Amino acid sequence: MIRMEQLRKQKGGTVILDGFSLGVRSGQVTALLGPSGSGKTTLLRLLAGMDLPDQGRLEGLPETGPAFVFQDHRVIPWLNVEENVAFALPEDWTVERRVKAIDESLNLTRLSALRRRLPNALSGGQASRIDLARALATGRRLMLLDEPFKGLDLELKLELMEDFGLIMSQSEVTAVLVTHDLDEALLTADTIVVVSGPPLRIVEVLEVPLAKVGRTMFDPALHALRQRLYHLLVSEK
Amino acid sequence: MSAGKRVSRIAGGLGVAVFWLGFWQLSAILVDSSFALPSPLAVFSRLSKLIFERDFALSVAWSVYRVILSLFIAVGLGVILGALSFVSPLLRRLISPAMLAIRSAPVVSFIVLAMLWTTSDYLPVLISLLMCLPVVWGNVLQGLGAVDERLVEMASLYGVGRKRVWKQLYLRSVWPYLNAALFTCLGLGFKVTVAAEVLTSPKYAIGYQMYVSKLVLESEAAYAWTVVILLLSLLFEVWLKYLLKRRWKRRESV
Repeated sequence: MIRMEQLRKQKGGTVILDGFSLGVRSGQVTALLGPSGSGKTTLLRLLAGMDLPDQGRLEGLPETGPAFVFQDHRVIPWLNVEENVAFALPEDWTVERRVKAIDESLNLTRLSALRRRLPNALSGGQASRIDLARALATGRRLMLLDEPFKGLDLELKLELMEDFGLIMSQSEVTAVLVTHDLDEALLTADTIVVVSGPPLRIVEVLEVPLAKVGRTMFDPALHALRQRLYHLLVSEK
Repeated sequence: MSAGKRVSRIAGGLGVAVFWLGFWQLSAILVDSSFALPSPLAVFSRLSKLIFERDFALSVAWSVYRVILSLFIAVGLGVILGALSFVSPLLRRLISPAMLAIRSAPVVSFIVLAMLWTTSDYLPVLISLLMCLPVVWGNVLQGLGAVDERLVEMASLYGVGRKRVWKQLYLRSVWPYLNAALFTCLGLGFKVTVAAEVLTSPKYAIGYQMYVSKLVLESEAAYAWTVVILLLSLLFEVWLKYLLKRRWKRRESV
């Protein structure tokens, strides 16, 4: 369990977090759902150690640090797919371990056949999977995802979300996903934390009582949850 | 490149050369003074004799050696100083005025000032080095500044080692800027080295040969030596382009 206790963060005169507390269950996908600019990404950066809180505590974070899937996919244009993945691997790993990690992550993200291609020779969806493959290959127990499906067309988004659900169901990785899209949260998360802000505050925490694989928006349970989330977000506006 | 494209490119290049030679010939007829502007035929005829003279090869070899040496030192020093200036703002503030001064002052000032200190055969190397150093330093600094900070942040998040970050991110970011600096310095190196050789007169040097041609009022030889410099400059530029392209291709095929 990862615990965030009484976090406070101020940036340029704006209080973004003020006594924010939340627990994230291990091995699950927790989605932080809320409007843009509410402070979700700031919270994610604190969890990643990219920023430090002014006050408060973070407990239960893995010692190895988290893997991060960025909103603006961080792909190195002059390295091919497997080199991009290999870039983030620890230097003290043996060659066998590196090869195994790369192979597995490329298989999971369906990039194996494209491993020697440069990013500019890939489609948008394929290129956006590189970030995910890199995060998976590092074997880190915590994965932070900052709007990873943003800007993709619907078909590609659904395909990637399905893949993500499948990957998460096969691994024991804990994931925190930040999004402002209802469907992204509903199709990928075990727990949805509806937030508002700034300062960031929890509006409601909802559990999604379905397996991560094979979810569709036509499922009555998801449909009902969607209605509820929609009303929550609208009433917060 | 297809054979057809290559032929049309060569034909285009020859067309341009013929145009300028025609322009030169016409100008020579209009000026009507073989001393002020000899005809291309006279210059190339002098050049054909010049290349068999005893000092030709030695003069060319020494001048090329001076240019290449100054270029190597300028690139080495420029990269080191550029990288250090990038990581240390204090060093950058210290170095910047010196680089600006070198860049702004006329070449001849440096040659004259340097001649007060030494008359070594290597003085043209020093002058060429001084002229090229700010170019390399500035481009390296600019290239390092252009690195994608988002990628550096990603590397830091995954704890990627400094060596790998410098090699894969910073060096790659600097590479196009360093390429541009190399081409600028190659042209600059020939110009400055020959200018310094004219004034310092080392025994074997293209600049010295030009100075002698002027001294004995042999303008056809002076023009012939200018053609030699142009050809050498062109040759080295093509060679450098080929080298860099080959290196790039090798990198892409890995």
